[in-house]
Amino acid sequence: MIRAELSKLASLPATWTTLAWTLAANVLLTFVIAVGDTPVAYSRAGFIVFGVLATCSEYTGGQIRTTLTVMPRRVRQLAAKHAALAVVTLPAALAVALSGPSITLAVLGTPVDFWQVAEVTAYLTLLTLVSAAVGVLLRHTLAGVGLLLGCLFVAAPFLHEYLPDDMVTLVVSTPVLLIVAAVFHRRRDA
Amino acid sequence: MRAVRAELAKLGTLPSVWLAAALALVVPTGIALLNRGVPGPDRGYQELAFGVMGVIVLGVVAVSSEYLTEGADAGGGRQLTTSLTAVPSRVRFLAAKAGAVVLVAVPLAFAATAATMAIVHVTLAERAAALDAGRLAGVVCYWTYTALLAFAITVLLRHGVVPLTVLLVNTSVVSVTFLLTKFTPLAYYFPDMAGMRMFVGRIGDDGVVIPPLLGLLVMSAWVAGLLVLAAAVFTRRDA
Repeated sequence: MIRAELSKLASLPATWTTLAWTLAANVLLTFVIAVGDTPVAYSRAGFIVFGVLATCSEYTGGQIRTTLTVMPRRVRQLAAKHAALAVVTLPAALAVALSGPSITLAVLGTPVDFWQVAEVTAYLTLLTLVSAAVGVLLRHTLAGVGLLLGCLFVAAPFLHEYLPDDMVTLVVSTPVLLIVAAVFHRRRDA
Repeated sequence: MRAVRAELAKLGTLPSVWLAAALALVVPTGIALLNRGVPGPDRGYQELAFGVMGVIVLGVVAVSSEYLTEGADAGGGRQLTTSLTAVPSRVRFLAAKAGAVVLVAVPLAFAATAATMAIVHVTLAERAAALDAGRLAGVVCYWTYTALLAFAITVLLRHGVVPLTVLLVNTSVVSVTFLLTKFTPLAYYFPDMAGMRMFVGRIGDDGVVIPPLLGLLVMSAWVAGLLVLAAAVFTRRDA
């Protein structure tokens, strides 16, 4: 099942263009600001788009019906989709998280903080999974991307003092949203 | 004129456009409420500069909805095919659509400005900056231009995700274009950075000072240029 979801994900041109552009933007922004971790704040957008696309692409044609005919157990199907997504996202997130510090290492000679790289990788992967869950709930690419970007880039900076740390919020909201998405996916008419 | 009315009817029946209208009102007023109690010469104007999310969604969705493929059970077609059958002149179609976007964006900008300024004046009382007709006109102009910018970029790309992502990320408090100003002062002439000068006095540490009128000219040039480019590409390209 995971292999089936992986092949669907890998055959989407949007997967590769999104990830490539995110990495390119991250590298470019690192050169522009020359501070290790700030470009990642903007690269989050690419991972959000990727996560939403991964689940919403099922709904643009009639793909979802084929998928559910082949895998009628909906919760298992969704779990397989998220597992496949994580498999693709993890190396991509690692590449993006490493690109910034390795450039500063090459240019300025600042040593790479591997703990921070691991944290950024985990953050980006969880963010992609959350985005995929939101995509399942909304079933509309633009709406999902708009909502998540609005929360992260427009609302969050102003709500910062009322919210716990970014990572804590994400670690709490990931399982919650995944479960909500699974419940809706199971009960709702596809 | 009939084409404009048709485009308005299309916009009015899109749920995303109503969502955009709600966002246009909620985002700047919400930010103003969170910032209450902090006086400053740009209070209210700054919130309106960051709160353009609503008109961005409006401009993007107005075009991207035409290109969205319906499900196979609804015929698998696109709205655009029908639209161009009804209005075969592509320039006229695009002009009507841009006109409809402007007709929606202007009242939205007025409403958002009025609501935000009302909140600023209620929460800050006499510490609020005095209202200035020129700056308020600048806000309405900036919002309308931003909608048209989103509109033109989406026409060029024929898909909503990329323009929506890029433009929304750029409305963040520290925008990408602002970061680029640290790299080259030319970045002060990006449409959003220049357009904001119409009503925001200081941006960051101000390496380059652009007077409001020049800001208006620079942003007008960007919008006009992108609209002409969009029209040129749209008339030549297979829909």
